[in-house]
Amino acid sequence: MITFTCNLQEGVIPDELRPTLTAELARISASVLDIPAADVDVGYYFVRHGFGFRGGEVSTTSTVSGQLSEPLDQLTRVELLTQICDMWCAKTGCAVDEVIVSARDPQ
Amino acid sequence: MPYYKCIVPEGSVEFDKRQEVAKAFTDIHCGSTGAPRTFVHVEFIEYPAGGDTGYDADTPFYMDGRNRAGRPEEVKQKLLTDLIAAFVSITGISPEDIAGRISEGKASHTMEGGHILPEPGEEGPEWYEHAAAD
Repeated sequence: MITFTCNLQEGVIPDELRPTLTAELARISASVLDIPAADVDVGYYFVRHGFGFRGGEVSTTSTVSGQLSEPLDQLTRVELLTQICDMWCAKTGCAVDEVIVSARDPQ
Repeated sequence: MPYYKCIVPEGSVEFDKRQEVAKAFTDIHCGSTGAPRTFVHVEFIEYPAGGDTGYDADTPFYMDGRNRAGRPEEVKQKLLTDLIAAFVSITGISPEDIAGRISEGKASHTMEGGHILPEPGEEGPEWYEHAAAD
C-alpha cells in the first residue's frame, strides 16, 4: 500500500490532468511495487498563488509525497521515484527541478 | 527538502511579508547548512477565524519544518531558534505567539531535481553545480 499526497501550486498543473496523473501513479506503483493498483491512494492539495516559495521566490514546484505501509529496499525506491519523476515531467511539461518525489518508509 | 510550513491566521501575513519570511528562511537555512537556495521551500497555510493551527501548541502561529536527518542537535536547535526569530521580526508578532518544530526524514527517500538527495555531509560537487545552474 502506498498513499500519495500531491501538493500543487495553484495554476501550474491544469485540473484536467489530475485523472491522468492519478492513473499513472497507480500504474507505476503497482508495477514497481508489485501491488494491486487499488492499493494506491492519491490525494491532491493546492497551494494558493503567493503562498508557496522556493529559494525565496514564488514557487512552481509540485511535491508528490508517498507514504509506504511497508519498508522498501533502496533500489526499488529509486526505480519508483525515477519512473514517477519522468512521468510527471512528461505529462505536465514541467522541468525536472519542478517536481519533488518521495516514498517514505513507515515510521 | 527542507520544507517549512508556516500556519497562520487568515489574512494575518500579507504577500510582501510572506516573501520576506521565505527569503529570510532561505538565508538562514543555507547559512546554517550550506544547502543550495533552490532546495528551500516555504509554504504558508492560513486557517479561518475561530480556528487554530492544528498543532499541539497554544499559539496562533506555528512553524513546522522538515529537514534531512543527520545534523547535530545544536545545529537543529539553532536553526529553529533563528527561523522563529526571523518570523517574529518580519511579521511583528509577539514571540509568545509562535511555536515550532523541525522534524527529519531520510534524504534517500526523496528525489529532487531528478536525483536522490544526499545525506547531510555527503553532498558531492553535483549538489552545488545543480544550485549554480539555477
